[in-house]
Amino acid sequence: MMEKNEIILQVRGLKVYFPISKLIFQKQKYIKAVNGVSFDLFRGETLGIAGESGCGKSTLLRACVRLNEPTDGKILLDGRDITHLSNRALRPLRRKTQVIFQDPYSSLDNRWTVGRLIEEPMKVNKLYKTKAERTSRAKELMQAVGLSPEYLGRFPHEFSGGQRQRIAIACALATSPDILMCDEAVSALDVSVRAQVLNLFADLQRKFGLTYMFVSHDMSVIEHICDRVAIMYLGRIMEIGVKRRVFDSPAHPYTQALLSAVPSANEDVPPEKRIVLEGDIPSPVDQPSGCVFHTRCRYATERCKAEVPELKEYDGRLVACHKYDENNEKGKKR
Amino acid sequence: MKQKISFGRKLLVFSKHHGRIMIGGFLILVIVLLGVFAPLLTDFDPIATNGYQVNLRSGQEGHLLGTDAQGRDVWSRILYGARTSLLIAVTVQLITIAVGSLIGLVCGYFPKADLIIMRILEAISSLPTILLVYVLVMIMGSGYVSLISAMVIGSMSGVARYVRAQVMSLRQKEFVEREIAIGAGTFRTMVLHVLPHCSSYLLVRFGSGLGGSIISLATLSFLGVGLPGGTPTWGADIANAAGKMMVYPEKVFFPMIAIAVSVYGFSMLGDGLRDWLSPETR
Repeated sequence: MMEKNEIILQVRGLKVYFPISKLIFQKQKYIKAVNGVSFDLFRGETLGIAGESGCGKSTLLRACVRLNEPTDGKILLDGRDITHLSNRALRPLRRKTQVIFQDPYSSLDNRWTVGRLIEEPMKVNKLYKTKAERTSRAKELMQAVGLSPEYLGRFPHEFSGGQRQRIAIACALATSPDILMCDEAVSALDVSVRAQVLNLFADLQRKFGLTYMFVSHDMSVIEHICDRVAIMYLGRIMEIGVKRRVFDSPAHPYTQALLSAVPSANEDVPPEKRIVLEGDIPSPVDQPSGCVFHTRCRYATERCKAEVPELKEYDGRLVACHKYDENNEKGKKR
Repeated sequence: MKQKISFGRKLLVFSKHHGRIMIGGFLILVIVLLGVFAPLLTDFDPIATNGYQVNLRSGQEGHLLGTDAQGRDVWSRILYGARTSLLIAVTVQLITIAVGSLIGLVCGYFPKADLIIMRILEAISSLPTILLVYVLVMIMGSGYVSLISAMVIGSMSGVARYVRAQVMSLRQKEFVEREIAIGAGTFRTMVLHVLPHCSSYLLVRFGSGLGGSIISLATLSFLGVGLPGGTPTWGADIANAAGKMMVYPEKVFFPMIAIAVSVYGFSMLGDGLRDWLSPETR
């Protein structure tokens, strides 16, 4: 594993609110998609962001590359505050963080050839002077993602989903980024193709020393590729830590429920022992007081309804739960 | 894989599937050729009046379609009328598309400008074109400039609205976000990614808009608004001949055929283009 000292992306108290339309005399309300998230991304690692749909994981990723405007908080890229940089000032920095979107069918302009798509980021960032240099770089990239350079003249619709996602990866790599932000990058792919693309991600990380932020709702994908995981619920991080620890002994009640919902081929978790959450995820507009999870938590106490738990160190990871704060002994016995 | 297919064969296959483009294209080609080679096809001046040869019947004194009440050759006026019609229709549609898409792009990208510009466009599109022409002619005097600008103002809001809607939906698309994520500016994104996705619509709109422009030009010149008197236009010819329609019906009939053929040709062409290029807008 690579050294994990250097922080490449630092997020502190990030909030992304979307105003919802209102009538004249109503109070302005917000969808609190991301509500006070803090984490560090270390160079060379893969951080997985997991959670059910609507928990704000994609918004968090998009806010980190400023595709969504942060409402509050701080984003430091390589120590530089990019939270409130103007779009113009941000443009030269964008090449360091590239995004890979979920749907390879809509993330590639279907009127452009593959070659033009891959060369576009180089042109925008003025990376190479001549067309010939760009083309040879594009050929290298095609090889790096496992496609034949002969395909440069073709159009995206001539490729399958997995190949398209490879093209999208080649486009993202064109600017030699440090961080790849993958927004459900393999969710739209067939299971058989998914593993190949995940392995490609791992290869590229080794080859180019990339840092990944990997958003997915699929726990098996997270388990496959990530070094660390952050579990999100209603716009907050519930638990964040090294993958093995979180997966082997989940601390937060929500993480426990989420992991026990993963279907498994071997019978180590009998169905009756599964933790089934009651009710629905609360509205991100009128969030529950205190711990946002208390409405569905089986350990919820009066304190959980009143007080928002902070992320605190517990058993080698950070957990936002009062259970471990009040009585560490009881928690450890579990 | 790459087989040589002769151009003629390709054209044959194409015309089988896109008959409307071929029919429309043929009719328009005829009108265009008539307009372009007008000086070769007639010896008569379309504007100079001749008091001695008024209301001649077809074929008399070398006048193919006779003369009108002012003694001007009808055939020559139709030929030069084609020039006027095509020139104005094409100019109007080109400017409409250009200005309309520019306004649409601005509105789609900048919500504050959108709020103001769309209200203005709505106000303008509620005015009849004829009224606009009257006002502009009063301000700027009659002539091509005021007529064309009035027709552009009258028809651009449709284009602007379409491009605006396209921009708004395309902005949400991931390939446009990706362009922003790689560090491209708004302008580059608009020109390279958003506009090309409107291009087939704009081309279709251009084709079918030409017919509409010819009709409104005919209407306006029938009413005698816009162009200076004497300019050869089909609408003016009809108006001129309408007074003696019972005696000389063919004098009304000939320019009407010209209008009908060109409008039919353009709408066929427009429909064909739509089926070919953007079947989703059907």
